[in-house]
Amino acid sequence: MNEKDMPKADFITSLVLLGFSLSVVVMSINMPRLENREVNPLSVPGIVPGFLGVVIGIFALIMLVRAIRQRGYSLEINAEKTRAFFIKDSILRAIGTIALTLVYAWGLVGRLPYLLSTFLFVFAFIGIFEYQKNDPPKRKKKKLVIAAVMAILVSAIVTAVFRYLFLVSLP
Amino acid sequence: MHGLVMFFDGLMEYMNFWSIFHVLWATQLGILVGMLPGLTATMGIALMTTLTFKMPASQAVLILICMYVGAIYGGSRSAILLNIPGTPANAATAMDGHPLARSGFAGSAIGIGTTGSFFGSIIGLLFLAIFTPLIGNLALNFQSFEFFALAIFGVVISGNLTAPKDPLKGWISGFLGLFVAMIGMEGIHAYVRFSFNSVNLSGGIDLIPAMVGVFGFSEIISVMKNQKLEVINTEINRVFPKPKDVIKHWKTIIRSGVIGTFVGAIPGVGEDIASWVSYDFAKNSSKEPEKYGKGSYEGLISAETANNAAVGGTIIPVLALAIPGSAPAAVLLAAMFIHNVRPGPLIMMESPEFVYQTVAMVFMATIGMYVLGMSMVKGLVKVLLVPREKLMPIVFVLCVIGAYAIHSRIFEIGVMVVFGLIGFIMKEMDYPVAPLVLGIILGDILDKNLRRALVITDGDLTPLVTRPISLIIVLLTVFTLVSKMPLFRRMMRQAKETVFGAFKKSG
Repeated sequence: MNEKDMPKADFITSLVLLGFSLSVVVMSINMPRLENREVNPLSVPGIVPGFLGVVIGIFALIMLVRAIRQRGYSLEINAEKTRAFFIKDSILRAIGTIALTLVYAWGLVGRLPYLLSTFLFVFAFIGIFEYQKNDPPKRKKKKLVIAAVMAILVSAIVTAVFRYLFLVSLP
Repeated sequence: MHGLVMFFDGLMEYMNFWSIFHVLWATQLGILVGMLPGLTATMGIALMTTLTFKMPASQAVLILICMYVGAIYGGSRSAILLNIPGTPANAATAMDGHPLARSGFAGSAIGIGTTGSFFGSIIGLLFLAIFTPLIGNLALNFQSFEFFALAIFGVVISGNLTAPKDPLKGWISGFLGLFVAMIGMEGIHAYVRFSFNSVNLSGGIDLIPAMVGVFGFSEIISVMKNQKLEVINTEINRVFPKPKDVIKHWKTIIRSGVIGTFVGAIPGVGEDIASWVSYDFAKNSSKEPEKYGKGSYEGLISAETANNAAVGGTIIPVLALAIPGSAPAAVLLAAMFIHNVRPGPLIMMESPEFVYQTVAMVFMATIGMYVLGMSMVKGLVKVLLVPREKLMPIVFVLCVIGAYAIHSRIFEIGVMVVFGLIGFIMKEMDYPVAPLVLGIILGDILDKNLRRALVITDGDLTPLVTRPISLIIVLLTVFTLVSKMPLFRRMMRQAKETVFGAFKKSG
């Protein structure tokens, strides 16, 4: 993120943190005091989270004031800027990485056999990120074959090592 | 003297085939992990913890320490050849290492860097051997107030030093970490906090999956987001440095070693800050400061000595206080707990031999690092050519299985992913992640000790400032916080001007 946009980011973060700290404080106050167990009121479970909530709230307030002074409140979000942001190459690569990894970690692992899900993930990751529109068909095919070979090797080796060497029951 | 005997006893224990074999492969793997941008020491140790948790403690910790020493050193290789520090600890190395490589001195830069790392590591382990027992004995006097003050001081100083541009973000990161530790069952009345009726959350957030996320997954996203790396085409000639080229830097080596160890020992600060501080000191006291940033061997050796000295430094508080000096050391601490080694103030009473065994482990790792670092230089450069598109999916597969392996729970994969995303967003917005991790470790200490202290004194907080050690920690914390405030800085400037102005007038 560039320096110019930082006050805007800080403005939004400070509001999120303020909301977070407020909810932590409220939840801490509402935690049971365990009177029925005759617990010392100074050792109740909510005391430390409440303290942390207050401290985070103070920091968030300082950040909010600072961001307002630096005019972070003028977010100037419009359709054109949003579009320009999302078609940046680096942002697309980051979003692609997050999407692929989330599908693997939350969607595939545990639902499909580990070997298969890992094969699919590695193959898709290498296949997608090494894809070049301008490559001749032969090269495209070669890249896919390499991706498949790597995916087979990685999934087989990791599965074998964890299952037979480290005796982990795989998901 | 007794310590020296225990050190040799520890060393003798590792003089067998399997230990030496472990030292060699783990250090080499560490060097590789360190070399590859996107694979950091923290991530390497976290993943290695999951691979070694079924081994006996003495071997597993040896492997982790070798990985640690190897990775911090290995990062210098990519800093010199790619201008991209392999781990954050090698950022200062790139300042002079890369210009040297560009001018055709890649071989000698690697040689000098390796030698600096070796001496740094030796200085670090000497301090580790001397200071751990001293601090451990001092910490025996610590009671609830001291531990509470220390926990707050830890996140504040870590926040301060890891985010020098904007310490507020460092402190927020640290306190968020302390909050994360509040999730799950608390240690005094066994009440489950912030679990929202989830059975998984009631057990709390485990450190290893969180760290694999923050230092592994988030790094994968960053590496994929950034531009492709270009390896410079350079001939690597003579690597082994001439003795006189090393001896002439003896002052820099000793200074950087001491600075590195000291900064390393400060909770949650770490090797990266150690090498920058040392680099700055070296530049300020150099006869040729103009060469810095353009290819100064002195600058290179100051950075590389300090980051490896910091490794020994970071282990001092791990052993003596059970508080990590850096993020990789935090994983090391968590791994020790997994292996039923209980570091902390009682270690010098319960198992002093473990302290010296650790010193012996660092020694073995240092020797391994120097031998491996000086050999196979040309072959290893090829590793840097592996494209990120092929490497990163493999790393992510290891992150997933690493997070899962220790407790065999799918939930831990979710923790890893969530913390990875949080880590990525934090890094994008200039929040340091090291204080977050330190906070997760210190949260439990803070929680138990603050409540215990309040009960003991019936809610009276004055012992915080009447007990001497506690008072010192409180004053340091207040100073750390206040020194960064603009008002304080203005006042200091005014005070300085008034005093100097008066002198000028009278002069």
